[in-house]
Amino acid sequence: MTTAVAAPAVQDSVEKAQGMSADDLAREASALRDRINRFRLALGRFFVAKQPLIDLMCVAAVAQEPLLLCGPPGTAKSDLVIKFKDALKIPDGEYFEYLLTRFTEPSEVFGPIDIAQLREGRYLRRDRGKLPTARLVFLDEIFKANSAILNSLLTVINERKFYQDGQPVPVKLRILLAATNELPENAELAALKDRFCLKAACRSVQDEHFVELIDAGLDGFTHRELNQKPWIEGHATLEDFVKANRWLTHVLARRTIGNDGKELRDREIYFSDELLRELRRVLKTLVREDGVFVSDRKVVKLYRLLRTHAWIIHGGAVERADLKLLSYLGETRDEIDLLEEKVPRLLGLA
Amino acid sequence: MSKVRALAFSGDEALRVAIMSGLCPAEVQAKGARVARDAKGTLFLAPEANLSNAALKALQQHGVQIDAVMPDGAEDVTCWAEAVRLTRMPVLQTPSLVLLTSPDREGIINLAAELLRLGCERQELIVTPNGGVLRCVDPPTYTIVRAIDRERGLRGFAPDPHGQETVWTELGHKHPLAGRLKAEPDHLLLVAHDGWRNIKDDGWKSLDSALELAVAGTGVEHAAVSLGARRKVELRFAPGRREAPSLWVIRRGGTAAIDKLLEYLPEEVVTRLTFAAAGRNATMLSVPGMRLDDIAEGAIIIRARTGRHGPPDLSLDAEEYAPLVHMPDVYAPAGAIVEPPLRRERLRSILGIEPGQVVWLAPSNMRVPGDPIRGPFRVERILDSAFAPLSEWADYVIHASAPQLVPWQRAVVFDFAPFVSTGLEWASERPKEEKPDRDDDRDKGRRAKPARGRPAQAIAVSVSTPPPPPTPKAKKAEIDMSAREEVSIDAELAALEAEFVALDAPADAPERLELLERLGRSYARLGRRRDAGLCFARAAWEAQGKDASERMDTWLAADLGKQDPAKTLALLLDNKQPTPDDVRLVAAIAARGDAVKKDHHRVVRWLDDHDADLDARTLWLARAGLARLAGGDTLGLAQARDRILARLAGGLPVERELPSFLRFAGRSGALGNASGEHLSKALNALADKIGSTRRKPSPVEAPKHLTTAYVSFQLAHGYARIGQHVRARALVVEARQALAAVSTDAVHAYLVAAFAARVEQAIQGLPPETALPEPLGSQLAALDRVARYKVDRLREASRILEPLERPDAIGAFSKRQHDSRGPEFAALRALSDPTARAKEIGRLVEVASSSTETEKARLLDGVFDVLLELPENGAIPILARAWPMVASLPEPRHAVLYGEALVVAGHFGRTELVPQLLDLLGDAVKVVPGPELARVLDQSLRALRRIGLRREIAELLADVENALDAGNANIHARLALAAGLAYLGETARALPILEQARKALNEPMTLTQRLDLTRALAQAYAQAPIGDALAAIADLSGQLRDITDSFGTNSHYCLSVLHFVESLVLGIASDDLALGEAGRRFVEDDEHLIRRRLHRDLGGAG
Repeated sequence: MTTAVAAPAVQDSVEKAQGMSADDLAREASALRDRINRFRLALGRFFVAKQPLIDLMCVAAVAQEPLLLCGPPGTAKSDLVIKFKDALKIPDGEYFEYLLTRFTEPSEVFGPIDIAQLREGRYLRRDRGKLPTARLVFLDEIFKANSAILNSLLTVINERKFYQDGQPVPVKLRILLAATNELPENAELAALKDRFCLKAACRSVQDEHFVELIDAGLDGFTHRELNQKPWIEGHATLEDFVKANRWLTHVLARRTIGNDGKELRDREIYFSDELLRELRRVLKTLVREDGVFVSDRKVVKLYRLLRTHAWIIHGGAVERADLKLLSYLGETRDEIDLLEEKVPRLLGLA
Repeated sequence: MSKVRALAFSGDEALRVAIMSGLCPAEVQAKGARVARDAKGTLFLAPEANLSNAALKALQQHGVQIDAVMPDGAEDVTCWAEAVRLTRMPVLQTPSLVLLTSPDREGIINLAAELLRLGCERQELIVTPNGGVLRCVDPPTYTIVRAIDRERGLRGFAPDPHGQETVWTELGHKHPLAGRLKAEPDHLLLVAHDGWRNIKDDGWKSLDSALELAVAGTGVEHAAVSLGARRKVELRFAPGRREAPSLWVIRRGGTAAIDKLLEYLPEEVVTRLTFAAAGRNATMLSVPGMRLDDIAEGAIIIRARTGRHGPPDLSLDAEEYAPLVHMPDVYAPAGAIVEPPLRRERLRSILGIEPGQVVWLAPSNMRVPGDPIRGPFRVERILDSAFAPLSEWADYVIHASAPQLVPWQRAVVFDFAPFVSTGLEWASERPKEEKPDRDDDRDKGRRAKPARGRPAQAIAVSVSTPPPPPTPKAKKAEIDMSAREEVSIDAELAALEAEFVALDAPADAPERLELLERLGRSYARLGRRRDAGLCFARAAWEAQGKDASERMDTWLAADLGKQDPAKTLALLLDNKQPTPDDVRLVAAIAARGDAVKKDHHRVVRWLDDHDADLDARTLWLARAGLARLAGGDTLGLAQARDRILARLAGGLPVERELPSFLRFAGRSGALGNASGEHLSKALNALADKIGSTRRKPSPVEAPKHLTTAYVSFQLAHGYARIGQHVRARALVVEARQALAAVSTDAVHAYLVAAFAARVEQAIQGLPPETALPEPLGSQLAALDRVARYKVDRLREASRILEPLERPDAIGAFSKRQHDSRGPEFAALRALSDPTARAKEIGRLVEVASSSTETEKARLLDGVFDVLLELPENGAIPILARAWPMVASLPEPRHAVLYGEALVVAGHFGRTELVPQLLDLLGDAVKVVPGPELARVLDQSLRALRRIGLRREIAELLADVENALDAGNANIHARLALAAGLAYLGETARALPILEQARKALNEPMTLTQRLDLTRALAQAYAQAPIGDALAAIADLSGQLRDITDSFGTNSHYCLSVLHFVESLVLGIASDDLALGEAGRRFVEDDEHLIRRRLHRDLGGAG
């Protein structure tokens, strides 16, 4: 866990990005997209066969949707997140990571109770350097947390708020990444699991990429020993991701006048009816044949994510290949494995 | 063209009626016509064939205009039915057989390729000039949804009606006359909303004729050569795993080691251990370093039972083994694996493991301590039945004070002779000062009072151990308590207990709660913390707001005295092995809340580890208090609720939930029933009767000693249920010995283990419906078909072995199924995760919704059974979907299924569902066949009792009483009715029915009928007043002389004898009889109160 003080300049620019107008963002949109693409491709070079996961992290970060990485120990889950954070040059004060266990107490995540305030009858947490003040949060072994933490996390994810002395206080969280060794099938955790629209498996790559793994591993070792971070190449910043999110929010909400003078929604321009039917077909197949649970909330989120994916990867309307994002809808480890194989097969992209 | 211009029908419906009613001749309908519709929906039809004048007149009389002008835009149809529009239907399920068409040949080839890609290989093809038709089995949903969308001209059809393959209707549609449509000979008729198509059926071709599958590259032929001799690969150990040891082999000085073990191990750990003594064996000389002297006494093997806790750390100087690759009966040294890794079955076969054996792989080489284990090994084995509970070997005695053994022994045998209690025998701590004159002053019988609570302080194991330092509580008792005070408290207590029992008020009446609080204070003063806690928890249970806080404060003040709750809590939380009283105190502090704010999470974790034995009320109060502190931890509360509901599944566990005076009041007559002594005497008399009766066995009946051994198990179970634990254990040992010679037989091995487990559960006070230990499930599943049949026959007949499930042994044997409810339910056993189970059960309900009536009834029957195994939030949504489906089944099936739905609703306390189900059930019982009515009544009454609905029980019984005639044909149902009446206290109305059934036994009947009637009668008598019941059950035992059979199960036991004896044992030792009517009602009300508050606190939410 890191608790250094945040750099005020970055804080300001991020806050400013939050309030930018559509016109200002339109001027920057193309450059933003280029920067984010350079960022994701550059970061991919420091890993072996993890480009799809890095792409997914970028999509989740731009859409500001939480992402869950699921995989056994030693499959670079934490490394992905840390390098992602470094590459975005997020200062320590804006980053919070924690390994959760059933013994972790809320104060470790949300901050200890302020004793001085308590004496005055106020139940406040000292949240500096903790989750409420971080913009990028990484929670390792998230499902091992106890119910007190999980309940608070639900509020944070749902409402982007946490409670201080009974009053809701906004959190600064923009990107939430979580990792777990295993996905519990416990019904009590279903609500939290459902908040993670995207769940991706982080697999061992030694079978297919043995030599590359050793080379990359040794490079990583050298960098660590020499305290080098070559992945910090300055392609993009957290501010760029926030701007991209803001831009897409404007885009999804706008109405365009078509050739026939009719007002067109974003969907009518960027998501063809045929593809929308294809999306419905694939979802229906997954629900019926494999019992995959797709809540209404998830369907809406999915639309945003598909648009974000299309914007980042090729910049145009949603294409058939973008629907591969459906591979990450699995709720259990078995479903994740199944969907990663089945969705491309259904789409004829395998 | 006909001479009439056109017929005008008011709409499709009118045309349909004309076709179906025969107003128009079939031969005319079968010919073509031109059809048009106008804007008002009028349908104009100009038939090709002439209609007779009579037909025209008839049509006219029915409102058809017969000389209308055909509007423009008319289209040709091949027959009148084609003019009827299709209706839209949702496609809820992917049909298993589908016909797909594509407008062109390329499309059909691409379609076939898509189907192959998605795993559908069962395709056949008819190529047509315009494209083709593809028939496939189990098509992928994706393709079906594409066909429904008609993407790129793709269309899908399903046979309608089912069971034929010539008429196909487009997916998502239904033709109103589907059942009457016929295709031309050798043709397929494809019915779509935009026109029908006839396709010549010139034979389906396999896919190969349409797809040419090719392999790139040229083939290479390899010539086979013969191999040399088979390679011998020696299995060996390699280091590799970290499981904790759960089997210990002591080669030298085993007896002494066990003695030493028993000196320091807590009893809770000892009960988790079994041990076996291996005899002298010359082969042990092959053990490295072993000398002849060492094996003089043989080896001792200690084995930990599998359970919720991991194996204990024994710190023994012994070889340590852990189970190998999840095989509970095969062990390898802890820290070692077998190389090369082999499949489980292969390894078992190589090691030669037989069922009923425990095998461990011992290293062949001497091992240097600390070094990893490597190298070859040998196989050592012993019979599973050789293991006995270690606790049976330990005679715990009170150190140097023989007279004090008396109360302890009496506690173990639960022999509750009348006496006046001082209560001091039950105290958690004895006062330090001896009070010799106290014993002199009192009736000696008082020393026989069962010493419950914590006897451990006064007990040492074989050798003397210093008593533990007194706790602050004990010191307080020493200071506060004088003999005079004890006597006065005793008298006060006795008066309070009597007042409580005599009080004619509901279980939640304020005066009862007041009394409970006073009782709690008195128990606390005497140091009887368990009873005090149970009384205080009850008193606080119904209170709300400030009143609840005050009651909790009273509890804490009584238990803690002047000690600070926070400090006491801190001390207790440091204790890793707390007593039940400590756990209850922590729970009470947590329930009050104030003192745990600082240590909230620590308290939660501590309780997670230690609260397994808390009573339901204290557990819930604690969890609710902690949840309040956390600002509303609904997740935690829901988990606690599910744990409590799971405990209540088989009824209220009286041993854990009731204060002692209420438990034993039931048996001592205070709550209106007989003493335990009477029950014990009745069982003794039954045992004597069984021993002395000279039966006339059939020529093929099983050897007497085998059947007698199982009878001993049944009696042991009876004794265990009424608290005669010593007798029960002795009978188990006796039975095991009698069956020792056949213990390797798979049938005996399972039955012995299952009966022994049931007796052990009864001794522990677990409800009869508690599931058997998990390994027995695997053992059962591993039985071959014949052995399984023999075991299932006894499971089918035995309510001890299977109190809930009714396996159909013969059905399962003949259908080769492992669950008589169907293969789906056998597969459910493999799903241990509740979410996955709920999902699968939900799927079964979906399947049932579109199944035939018989199949639907079977699936729903099974689903209601298995819902009880789910947590509430999984079960209730499924119940809500399932029970309305019962209405679509034939009426005679309703009663059983509504009864089962009622059981589920009752189990989860969903009283809002009950009135509707009860109404339906009330109607359904009027048409249910007699034999099924008995089952319906039995389960429904139990469900209603559980949620405290006495009035509803009376109404249901009235419905049944009216629906039943008084003849012997419905005697089982009438007995169930009598049991219900007896439960309501309507003994006068119940006894004549019971008497009628007794008389019916004197009439000629088959053996099976006799056994079933005896069981039903014994069960019904269990609800009757004790005097009538025990006398009648003793009378029933007179039939034993004629009980025998020639079933195939005589290879192992005589089924009829066991069936008969068990009926009587359960009649005597049923909870109903042991508690008596008033006690029983109290327990059921009590359970209702627990459920009511759980649902109230959680708002009934799932």
